Amino acid sequence: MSIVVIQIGQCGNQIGYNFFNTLSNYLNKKENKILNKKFKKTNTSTFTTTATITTKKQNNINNENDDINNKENKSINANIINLINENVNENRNEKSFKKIINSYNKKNTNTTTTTTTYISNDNDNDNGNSNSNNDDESKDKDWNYWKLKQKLYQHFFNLSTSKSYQSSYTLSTQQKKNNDDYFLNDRKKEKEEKIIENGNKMKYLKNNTDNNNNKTTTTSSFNNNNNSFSETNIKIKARAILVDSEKKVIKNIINKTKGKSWKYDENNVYYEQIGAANNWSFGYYMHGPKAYQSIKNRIQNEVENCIDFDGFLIMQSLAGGTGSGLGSYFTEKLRQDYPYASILNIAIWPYQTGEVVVQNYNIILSIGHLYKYSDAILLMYNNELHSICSTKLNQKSVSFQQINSLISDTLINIFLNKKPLNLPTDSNLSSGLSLFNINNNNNSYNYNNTTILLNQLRKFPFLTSQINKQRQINKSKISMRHFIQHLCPLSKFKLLSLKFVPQISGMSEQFNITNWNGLLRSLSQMALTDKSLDEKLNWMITIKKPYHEYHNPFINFISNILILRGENIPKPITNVTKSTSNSINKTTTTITTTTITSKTNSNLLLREQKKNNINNTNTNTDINTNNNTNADTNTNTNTNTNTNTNTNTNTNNNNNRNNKDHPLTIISSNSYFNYQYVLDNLKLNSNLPIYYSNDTYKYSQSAYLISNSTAIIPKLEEVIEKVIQMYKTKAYIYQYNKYGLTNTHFEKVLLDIEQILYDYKTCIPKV
Amino acid sequence: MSQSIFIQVGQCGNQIGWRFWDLALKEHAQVNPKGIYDEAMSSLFRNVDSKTGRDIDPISNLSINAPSTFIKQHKISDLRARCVLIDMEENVINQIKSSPQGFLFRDDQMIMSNSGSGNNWAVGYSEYGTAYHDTLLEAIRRQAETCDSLQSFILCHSIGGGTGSGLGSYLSTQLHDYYPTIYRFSTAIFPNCKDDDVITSPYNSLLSLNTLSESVDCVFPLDNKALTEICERITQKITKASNSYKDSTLKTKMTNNKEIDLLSLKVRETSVQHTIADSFFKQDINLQKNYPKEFKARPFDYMNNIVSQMLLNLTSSVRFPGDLNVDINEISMNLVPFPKLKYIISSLSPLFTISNNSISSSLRNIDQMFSDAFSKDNSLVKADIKNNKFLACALMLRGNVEISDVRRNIEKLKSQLDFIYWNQEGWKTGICSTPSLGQPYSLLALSNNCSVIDTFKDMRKNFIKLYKRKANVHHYTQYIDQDYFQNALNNVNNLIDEYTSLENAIPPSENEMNHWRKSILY
Repeated sequence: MSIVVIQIGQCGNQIGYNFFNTLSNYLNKKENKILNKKFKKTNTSTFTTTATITTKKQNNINNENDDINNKENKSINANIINLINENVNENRNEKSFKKIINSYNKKNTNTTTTTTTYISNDNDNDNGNSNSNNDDESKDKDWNYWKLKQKLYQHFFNLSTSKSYQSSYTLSTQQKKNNDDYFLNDRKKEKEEKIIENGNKMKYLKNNTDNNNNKTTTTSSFNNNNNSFSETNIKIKARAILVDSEKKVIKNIINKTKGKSWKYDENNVYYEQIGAANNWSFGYYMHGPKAYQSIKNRIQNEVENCIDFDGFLIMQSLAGGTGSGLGSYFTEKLRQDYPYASILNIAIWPYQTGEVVVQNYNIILSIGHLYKYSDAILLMYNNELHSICSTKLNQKSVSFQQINSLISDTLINIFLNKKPLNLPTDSNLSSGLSLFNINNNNNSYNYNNTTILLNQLRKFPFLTSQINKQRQINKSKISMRHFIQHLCPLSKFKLLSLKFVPQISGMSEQFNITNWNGLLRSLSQMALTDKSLDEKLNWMITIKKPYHEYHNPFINFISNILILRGENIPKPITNVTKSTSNSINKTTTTITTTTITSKTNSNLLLREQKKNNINNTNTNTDINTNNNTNADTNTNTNTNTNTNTNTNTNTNNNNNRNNKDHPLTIISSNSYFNYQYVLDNLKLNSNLPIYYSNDTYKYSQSAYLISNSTAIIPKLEEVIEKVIQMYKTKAYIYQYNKYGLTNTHFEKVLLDIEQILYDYKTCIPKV
Repeated sequence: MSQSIFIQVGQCGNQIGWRFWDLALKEHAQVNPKGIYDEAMSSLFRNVDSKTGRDIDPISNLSINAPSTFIKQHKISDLRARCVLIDMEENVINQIKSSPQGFLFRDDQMIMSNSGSGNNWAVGYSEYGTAYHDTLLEAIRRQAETCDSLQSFILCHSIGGGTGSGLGSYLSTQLHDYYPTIYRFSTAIFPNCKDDDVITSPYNSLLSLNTLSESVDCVFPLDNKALTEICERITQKITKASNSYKDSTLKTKMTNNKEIDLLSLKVRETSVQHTIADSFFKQDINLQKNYPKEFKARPFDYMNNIVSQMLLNLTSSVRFPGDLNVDINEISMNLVPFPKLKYIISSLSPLFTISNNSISSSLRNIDQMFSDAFSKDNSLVKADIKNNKFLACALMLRGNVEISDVRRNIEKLKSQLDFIYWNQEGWKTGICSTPSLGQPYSLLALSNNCSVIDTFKDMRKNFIKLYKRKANVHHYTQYIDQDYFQNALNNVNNLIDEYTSLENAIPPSENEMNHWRKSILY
């Protein structure tokens, strides 16, 4: 998923800058961590390998690398093919499918030029694999580094390289292939995560592949360090559009990026000379058309650059003129130009008082307009963030800088990589799936054929659409669109809010003992009582008592998404005891050959073995290579077992320690987050989707709840009350009329807001 | 960066302008020690290449780390103020010309005549207005052409005399016609209603109010009496701390020299020489015991310093960056709920003239600054804003003030101040990170408050007193129609009515509101 960020107005730009800055810092750290980890492992592996073969070592590693690549490809492609097989049933049909493609090629002689090149390329690759050239290798290693970077940065950043490298990229077919592999790898890893999650039975296999992965990457990083691949070759540019009516803020921001590892694209900057004067009308009617016209091409450019375009993220404030006016104009136009892209507005709700006198007018006008065109509006409340900063984070004087960094921290935690976490009740189904996948992993298809198939598939829209559907099942789990789909099931409910824990400063975090139980308990109650502060929560309000307007006014939810971040979430607790035994077994099994099986895994492994054999017999041509890979992996595992077992036992120890305090058990016990969902009877949202990630930022354990709920009602009501009062005296309206906002239009917007309020109010049960 | 053009009309306007440019120059010298013509400076000054006579573009922030040769190109070579000086006497403008600040102004920016307007609004408005129409607009146009984004005209004049009031109001109507999209602000010095040296000032002021109310976006009334009181208060404070001041003057002199040293040659020249207020003040301190009367005789420079301080604070967030930028056009957007009610009372805190910085009058803390700003003493108009209804209020902060300070103080002030029912939360905040000269932080509070009625009522009373007997009216009717008088009277009556109706406004009952709400919505 790639997201184009559009920052509008002073507030939006400052938050956007903070967002990108912290994001790049975080990614940098992560990248270094990965590289370091790999480098260490190479060291250990080189130590463990017998010193006698020092001369051959390099070659060996290379061979391994290639072979493993090969194997990986095979397994991945096998997955893909299996997806096809779901349509075409049996393995044999694959050949017939190939025939179709061939015939297709023959028919279309025009297109054959391209397709044949694909085939020939792949053939070359195969040859290249057997006799690996050193030049290709170095490029390959560069490419591996590039891949790593790309993977980390692709969501919000554009990567570009120096010219020489780019040309080599376009020329070398090897890399082309790798590019394909890279995507597949990604998918594969996802599946592997599933394996970790459910398939303890498959631990052995996973371990094998894990080792392979480690091996491949270790060699790459190892050589990276040797070849001194210069990082400066890769330029990181934020995929952002900066729009403001004033020059100052943008110039300031661009200045700040000097010396940073990332940059804004200076072509993506647009500013007017004169500010929008806190006037929605001025921003919308005067600046809007001009600004959009001139930045339109840049937006298109950015969208086209995306690998997998997901949607727009518009950062704006609601109070001022630029953020609100230009923001609503941009959303409207983007919806027209990109009707199928998802648009998420991150709107900063101003303080109740003090920022702008006419802020209530601007809020009403911009929400009224955004509601028509945006997919979802995530509201961030300045005063809530302010109180968090002042009371919980112990900051004596709160500046906008601190509020902005708080916003960007939480945004990063929401948008960074995450995977769905299935509750144990669902585990049967998913484990079944993972079994299925792993079986496919061992299918040894001809590597050559499958890549051709993949390439050919693109020519057949009906097939690709099928596959894409399958892909989307995997991919959509992390995309913004999926988020929005879940959070806004009906188009009349679009206003989202956000609650998060822990609320402690980074310094004191290490002194605090946070446990999941405490975090989730307070988060659940915060959402239920609509308190942003993790302090002085009203525990009297519960969902179990009947709803009462004063005595028990809990919030009614339309939908929720929970995001968890912590180091050892995915390991299901129920299996901990098993996994320990498993790991012990593993050590025994890995040291010996694959034929030796432990007691617990014997059946499964035997099944694996059989399949292996069957496949081997099926594809006679590949037996040799397959055997080679098996042998290689075995040797690898031998060398790496020591380190692996150590890490395994460590994690298991951790698991045991946190056995009782695990989010899965807590949530599945239904003690928290057992909210009433308004749309339950429509069968739209009955469960709480949970996403998790092991990557943590700032906090070692944190939880975020995005919710679409009736909590918005009092806030909107307050604003509309003020607006009506002010509008009755027609105060300030002449300023809006000056730039083209008519009173009838204004009244229409008011009516829209009343409708929104009414819709949300219907969600509250009547007493 | 958007630009503003300063138009100073009449004796009073020019004297204020004189101080304003001096202080503006110092302020920029403080921020920008290298003497680079940057964007902050470009909003008030222009930099002319001495050889070609063309304007040099300001150095953009983007390339501030550029090689030194590049910076050299952008050094201040020939600085000009973006302003037009207009007077119907030669005296003050000639003084300005020969003063250290004179290099900022060229002849094509000055419009002079020999004979004054004789304290007659009609002469300034009708006779000089028509006679100098072309030259005036030509001079303004020439200034406007040098701006790449002109945003506002700041008119500085008194409304008691003849030239400032008459020609100033004529100019405002012309600007309204020729530059309708550009914001026009008027800093109008209101005459002292109790004892005024000019007999016809009630006529002049009401007549110019009439034209200003139609052609200007915002009027910042300033009261001579309030200003003199402020000055007296400051000097009293200073005499108490005169000993400590002696040391501090030495220090400030030293630092001044050092700061300016890096600025370009011409700026250095001006600043090394003591500005009038400084030297005057020094004189005053040294000779205070011997010549206390002399000081009281000419307090204008102090007063003008305060006025220019207020103007600098007003334009500060246009020029310098900040957490919460306030563009100058946001002021009228936020403070003027109805097009007629645009009289904005300004109050400064801390109060200081430029020389006595960081001594006795320095603040105890930030909270003190906020509460001071709303006291009677700090307001630049004689008005009791605390006990009258607010329509809206803006806080323009400078220096290291954080939003939490603002929030805390707004909460505190909210209970003390009386806001109109439909705008209970009519606060606008601006934070500019560059502090004003010699102060860690400062606050300019702008309020649209009903207390201006008192000033208007006084002016109306004086006007009616004269107009009943038609005294001096024949001097005016030579040039203008007598309808002007009646219109001016009607205008001020309307203003007073509107403000009083708002002062006494009662929130409608809930039923009424609901009824009305339904009527517009359904």
